Amino acid sequence: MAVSTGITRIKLAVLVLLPVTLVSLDLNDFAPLELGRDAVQDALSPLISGVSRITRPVADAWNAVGGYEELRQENELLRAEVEELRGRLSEEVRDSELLGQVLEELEIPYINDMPRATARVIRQLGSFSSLNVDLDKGTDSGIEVGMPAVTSEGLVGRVIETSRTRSKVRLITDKDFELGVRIVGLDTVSVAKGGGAGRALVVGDGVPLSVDVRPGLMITTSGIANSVYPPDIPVGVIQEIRVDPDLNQVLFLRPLASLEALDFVSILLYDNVL
Amino acid sequence: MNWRKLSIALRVAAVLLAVGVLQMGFFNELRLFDRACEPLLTLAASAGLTLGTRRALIVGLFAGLLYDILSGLPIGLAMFAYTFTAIVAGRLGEYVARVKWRLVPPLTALGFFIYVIVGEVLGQENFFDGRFPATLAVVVGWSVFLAPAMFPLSLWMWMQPVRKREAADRPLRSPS
Repeated sequence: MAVSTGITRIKLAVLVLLPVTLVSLDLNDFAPLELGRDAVQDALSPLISGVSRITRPVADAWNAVGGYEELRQENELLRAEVEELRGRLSEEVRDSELLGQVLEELEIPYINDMPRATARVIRQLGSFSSLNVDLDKGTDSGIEVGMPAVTSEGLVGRVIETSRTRSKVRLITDKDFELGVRIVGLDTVSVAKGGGAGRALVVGDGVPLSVDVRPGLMITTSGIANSVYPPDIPVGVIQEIRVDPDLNQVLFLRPLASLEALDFVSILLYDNVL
Repeated sequence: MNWRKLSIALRVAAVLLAVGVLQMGFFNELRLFDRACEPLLTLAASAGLTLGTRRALIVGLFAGLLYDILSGLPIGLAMFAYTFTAIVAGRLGEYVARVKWRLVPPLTALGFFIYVIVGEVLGQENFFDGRFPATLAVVVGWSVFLAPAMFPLSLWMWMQPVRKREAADRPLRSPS
C-alpha cells in the first residue's frame, strides 16, 4: 500500500531502520564502517583545508567581532587565576627545597630530544563540547594509536584513532582516560582518571594519609616500566584533597594544559606503545 | 538510468558535498557564543518543503550520512534525525497551500532537537546540557539566514524550475 506521498510504507520503514542499523554497527566498532569513514574523510580533507584557508580571514574577522565579550571574560578569569597562583606560590616559598624541585620539574626538557609531529587541531563539527579532538595529521606523519599528545604546558591526551591524514586524541579529562602519575617531590605513584569535560582529574587510590600532599603540588606522568607515556610530562596541579572512607586521600587535579583552547598539539612519537 | 536521473544524482551529490565542505571548512568557524550553524540540516528541511517526501527523504538520508562522517560521531545519528526532519517537512509541504521559507527554522529546530535527544539516548553525554537552549537558538537563528538560499538550491538539484518568486515562496499545488 502506498501512502499519499508516493512512497511505500515498506520503503519508508527500511529507510528509517537503515540509520538505526548503522548506529548499532558503528557503536560496536564495525571495521568496514570505520574504514569507509576514514576514506571519505581523507578524500575530503584537502577540500575542507582549502576552503578553510581561503575563508580564514572572514572567519577571523567574524570571531574577532563576535568573540570580544568572550575574550574579555576569559581575560578576567585568567587574571583571577594568576592572582590565586601567585598566592599559592608565596606559600610554597616557605618550603624552598620543594619549590626548587618543582621548578626543576617545570624545566624538564621532556620533549626536546624526542621525535614528535606537530598537528593542528580541527574544530569539531557542530556546537557540542567534546572530550576528543581531531588533528590534521595521521599515519603519514608517523602518528600511531596510543601515542601521547602534549603542548608546551603538559599532557593533553592520547591518540585513539588514526587514518592517513587525520587522527583523534582522547583528552585527559575523558572519564575513560587513565594514566600512571607521580607526585613531584614525594615520589608517590598512583593512577589518575579523567573527571569529565571541564572537571578535575581524580587520583582516587594509592595515596595514604601518611603521605604529606598539599594543594599546589605538581603531578607528572610516572614513567614506570611499560608505561605508554614517557616519564615526567607535567599533567596537573593538586587543587583539592579529600579523604575517602578507606582513609586514602583523593586528589583533584587541575590539568596544566589549556584543553579548552587547543590550536596545535605535539604528538610524541614514543615507541613504548603497548 | 536515463540522462535526467543521472543529472539529478550528480546535482544532489554536488550540492551535498559543497554544503558539507562549506559547513566543515567555513560555517563551523563562524561561531556565535561558541555555537555553530547547521546548513546540512537546513538543506534537509528545505528539500522536504520544496521537493516532497520521497525526494527529500533521499536528501535527508545522505545529508545526515555526510554529517555523521564529517563529525566523527556515530554513523546513523544525524542520518536518522535528518531523515525524520525531511519526512516531516515533506508531509508539511503537502498540506500547506504555499510553501514558505519561514517554515524552515521551526523544522530545523525540530531536527536539531531530535538529533540531541537521539544522541543522548545513544550515550552522547555532552549533547543535552545547560548550553542546549542557547545552542538551539543559534542553530535556528542561522537557519533564518540560510533558508532563502537553500530553497532554490533544493529546487535546482532536482532540476525543478527556479523562478525568483518561487525560490523563496513556492506554491506546490493548488489547495484542494
